[in-house]
Amino acid sequence: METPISYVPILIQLAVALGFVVTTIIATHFLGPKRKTKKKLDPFECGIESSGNARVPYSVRYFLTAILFVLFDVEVIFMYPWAVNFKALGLTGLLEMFLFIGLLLLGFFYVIKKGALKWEDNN
Amino acid sequence: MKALLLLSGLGILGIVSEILNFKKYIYKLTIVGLILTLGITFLEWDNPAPLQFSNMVNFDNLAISFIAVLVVTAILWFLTSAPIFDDSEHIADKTTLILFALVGAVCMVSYHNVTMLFIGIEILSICMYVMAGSKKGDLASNESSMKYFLMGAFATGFLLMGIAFIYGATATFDLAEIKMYMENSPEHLELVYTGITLLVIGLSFKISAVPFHFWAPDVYDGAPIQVTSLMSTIVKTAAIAAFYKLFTVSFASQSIAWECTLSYIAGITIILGNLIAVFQSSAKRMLAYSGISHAGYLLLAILANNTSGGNALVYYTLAYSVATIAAFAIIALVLQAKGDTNFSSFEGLGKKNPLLALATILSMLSLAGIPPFAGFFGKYYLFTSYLENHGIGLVVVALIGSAISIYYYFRLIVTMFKGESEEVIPISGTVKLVLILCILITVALGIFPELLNGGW
Amino acid sequence: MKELIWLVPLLPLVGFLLISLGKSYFSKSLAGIIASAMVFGSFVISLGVFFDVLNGDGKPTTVTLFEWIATADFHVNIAFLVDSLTSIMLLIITGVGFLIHLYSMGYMHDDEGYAKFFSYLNLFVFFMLLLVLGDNYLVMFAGWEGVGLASYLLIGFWFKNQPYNDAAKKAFIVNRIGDLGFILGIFLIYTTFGTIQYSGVFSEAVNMADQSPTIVAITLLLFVGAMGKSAQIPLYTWLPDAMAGPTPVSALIHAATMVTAGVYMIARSNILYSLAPETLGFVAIIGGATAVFAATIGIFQNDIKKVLAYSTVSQLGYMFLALGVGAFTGGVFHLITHAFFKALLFLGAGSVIHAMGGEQDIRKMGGLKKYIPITYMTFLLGTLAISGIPPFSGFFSKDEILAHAFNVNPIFWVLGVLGSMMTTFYMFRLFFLTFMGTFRGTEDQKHHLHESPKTMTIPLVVLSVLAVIAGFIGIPHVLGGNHWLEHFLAPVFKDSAIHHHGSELKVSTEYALMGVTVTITILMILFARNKFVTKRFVPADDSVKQGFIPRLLANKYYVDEFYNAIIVKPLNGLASFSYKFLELKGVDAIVNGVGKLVVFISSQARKLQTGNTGFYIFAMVIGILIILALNLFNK
Repeated sequence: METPISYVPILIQLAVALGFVVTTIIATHFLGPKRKTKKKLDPFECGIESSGNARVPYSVRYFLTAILFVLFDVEVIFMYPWAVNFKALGLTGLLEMFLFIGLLLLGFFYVIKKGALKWEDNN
Repeated sequence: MKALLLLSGLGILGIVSEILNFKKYIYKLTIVGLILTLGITFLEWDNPAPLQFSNMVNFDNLAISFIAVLVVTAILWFLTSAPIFDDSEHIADKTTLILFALVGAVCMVSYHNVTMLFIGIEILSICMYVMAGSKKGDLASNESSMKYFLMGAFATGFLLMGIAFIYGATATFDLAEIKMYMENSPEHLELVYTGITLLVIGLSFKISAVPFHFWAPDVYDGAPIQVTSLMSTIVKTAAIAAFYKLFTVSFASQSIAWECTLSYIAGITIILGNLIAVFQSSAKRMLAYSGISHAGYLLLAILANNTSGGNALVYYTLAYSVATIAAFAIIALVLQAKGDTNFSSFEGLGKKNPLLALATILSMLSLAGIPPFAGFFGKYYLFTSYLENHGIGLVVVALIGSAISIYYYFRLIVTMFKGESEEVIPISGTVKLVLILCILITVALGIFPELLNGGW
Repeated sequence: MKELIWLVPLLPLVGFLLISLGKSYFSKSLAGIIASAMVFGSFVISLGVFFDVLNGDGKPTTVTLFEWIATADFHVNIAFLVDSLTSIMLLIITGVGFLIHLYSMGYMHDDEGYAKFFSYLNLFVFFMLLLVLGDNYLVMFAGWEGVGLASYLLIGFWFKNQPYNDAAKKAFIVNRIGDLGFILGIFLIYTTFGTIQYSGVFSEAVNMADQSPTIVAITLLLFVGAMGKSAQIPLYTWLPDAMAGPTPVSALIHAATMVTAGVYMIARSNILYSLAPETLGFVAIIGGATAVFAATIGIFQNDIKKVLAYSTVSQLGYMFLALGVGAFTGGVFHLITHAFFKALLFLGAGSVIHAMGGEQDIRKMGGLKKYIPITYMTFLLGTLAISGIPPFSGFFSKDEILAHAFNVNPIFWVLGVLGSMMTTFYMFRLFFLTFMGTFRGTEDQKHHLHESPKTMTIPLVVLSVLAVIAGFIGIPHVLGGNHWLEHFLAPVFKDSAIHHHGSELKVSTEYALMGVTVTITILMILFARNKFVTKRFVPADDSVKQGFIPRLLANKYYVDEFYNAIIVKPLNGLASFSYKFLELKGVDAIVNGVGKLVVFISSQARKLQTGNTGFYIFAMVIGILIILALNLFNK
């Protein structure tokens, strides 16, 4: 039957997770050398005095494209197990994969239609 | 099963309509499709072989009932939510997202495998994250989407962890096999109990039970009102059905592990949800909190741990969804006409818009559980199913909560008959139709409660 | 026609609905026509039903419309019982009712609430019919309450006048006391017999032991109901005040029909009463006492309607005296004749008031004979009938009661004769002061005097004919008749008849009794004539100080004041204590306190919702920790 001991795994997990975070933060705080001078705190820009903000925003399209890439990339992974079992799955497997590819393509066309892949701003 | 396929097909049709340029018809096509789905769902009643797709889903009568509730709610919702489909550029996107959300909801009520539960929850949630932020230029909408996503992700972690623990102990995802394992003196009790506790946490978040409710008011308040309506009806129905199924099918024999926790959660949810709702000055936010307290009532059905709890759940979710859809449709109209959803905007409604006033009154009475409306019998069945094998303690808490709820529900009713309003709020024909339908359902379910409580 | 019986109450109900819902859509006069037509329709069907019963085999028929209440072992049908008693009551209600509707079309002609008045009248007729038609006590009770409601509405018809409202409330509240007795009686009937259907109750009751205390309790409780509705001591005080209503209302509700409901109820339950002789004795005493008591008050009243009101109370006392001495037929007989002559007298009084332009004080009338001859003639016939001069109807019914009373106990007979004497005196006092002598009103009133329109005089004439001849349905054997009514009603009273095998009066005794009553009556008429016509005596103005007894009587024995002091004032005190202390300081404080507490907690609790996602996650983690702790330690 159940005893408090049943919950030991979760306590251990909690302790490890918290412990890692706390240890890391404390350790870096003590381990890292700290020498604060004005020069060191200045942003480095090829010897010229810095001007403006270093944080230039990227175009949001960059993220969009990146995410779409990851998305399709992950979907393609599904083809590997299918290819390995190609013979065993037979005709059904082939048709199912066609359906899958079809839906994937549908998504692709949708993305194109929405203009998500157009790089130039055309508004 | 056909409902699942049909809804997925409808969703894909939404994407196709974007590509092939017929998206202006998609709104009407969707409504027709949903009505068709409803009809087909009923045809599957008493299905001789409910297990489908390698035992991944189980379309038994309980699942069919919940699907019917979901689809009816969706039809009513689509009819009242024309305004968010006005924007012609995104009409197909939104329709598709909501249809896929519905697919996720159907998975959640019909799963027979814990992975299907997870997939269903994720399909539903991701669509809802996007829909919450669908009012792009509105900061509140963006904030609500972001909060929903962050906290949803946090809770999903617990859910997955719980599933993992259960798998670790039972080496299966199949509900029936888990059930068998639980009944035959399980060996790895510590894993099982940890897993169950984590699942309670994860699912409590999805139904917005205290203390995992914090996302709900902010998200409900920030999201476009139609999306709020969707979240407090379809999402809540699907989540509670999933919760019910998992716990009363697989974990029924180990109720000792979750009963106590869940009782406290239910009691606190009912009291706190109702208490905070009292002080709200916005009707939308008031309904958000009242939605939290309703989640508490729904938990009683899970605690009941019997089949009549399931019956009560179907009845209650239908009554609650219908009344909520009507209430949100009215709030949306008021928002459109007066610019905000504060109680003061409802003043004079009783004289200028009798239909709106009547629908509001009936919805509020039903939500408050006043006989002879549907909500009363919903609560009645919930309580009786709970009392079948429990003491009266939690029911007393629930009744106190109901008493508090009467305060804020009636406050809205009273406000409608106070003051004067110079303008008549225009109502479109379809919204009128939906309001009348909601009134009819609320009254009919209240007068003939046996219609739906036949048992399966 | 029995199969159409459901139409009898339905028609007035339809009339009520039509008029009350549609009164703004059709003209005023149409309302009166609809209402009268509905009641006339009911009357025609009632006639048909009456002849059905007359030619039938005497067995009652039950017509079930639908099941009203169905719980585990309590079933009540909306069902109508048709027998001789019902059919006679139907005729009176619809017949007199129709005449009064007709009369009202003239009397209420200029009233702004004309349509409302007729809708109420129809409502009253509906409930009254329900009362007499029901085949069980619950339907009777529904009708009973309904007529109470209609009576309330009609007494307070001119609701802008506060005293009238007070009178309406008084009628309602006093009746409430009686109704409480009635409903308790019904409860007791149900627990005793397991049914409230007449047939079931009566057939069970016959098998019960004589003088069982339960039966006595039941009958006493029912009689309390009858006391309220039929204005018997001590619950009679509402009826004189009820004269605040329009005169046709007084005629229909407070003379001919509603107030006789108590008599009907006891006659209907005759078998129960026969099994409880104690109750019967009590009924007889209350009835006899009321008959005399009310008559003494009647002598000193100066308001034409008040005199008639006390006369009604007194006559109702007669009916209860009859029931109490076991003369159920006599009670119903007097009910019938009284319905005719009292309706006639009230309508006549209405006609007088109409002519006088609203004046009701008989000291300001006089000599109206030549101005309103039809009213005069019909009023005279009514007065003769109520006084019991042969061969007018009152003579036969009163004589039958007195004969039975003498047979049971001569004291009852003495009471009856005393009452009859005084009745004759005050009725002729009223008659002489109103119609004889010279006019004592103002010049304005004198110019205004005129005979009433046809719609008012025709009912008067019809009723006067009935008041004259109605007695012939019950000519006693000694006078060579064969008492048709007794035979007709025999099936209803046959079970009770077994319990009354008192010896028949000797024929000579009966003649002697008749002789005494008639002689006394004629003497009283002569006395009144001498005083009010020959000596032209007119009662003094209210401001004149009078002797003790006249003052006592004019003030109705100060009964109202007495009730006020012992019941109303203490109740008001209790109510004001409950309100000021228990309600405001106790209940309200608790209720409002709870409300305020909830709002306060709510205002604090909502501060949890900071809007900061970090805090939310933190709170959720705390929640998770609590749940884990709960699971850890709560095993």
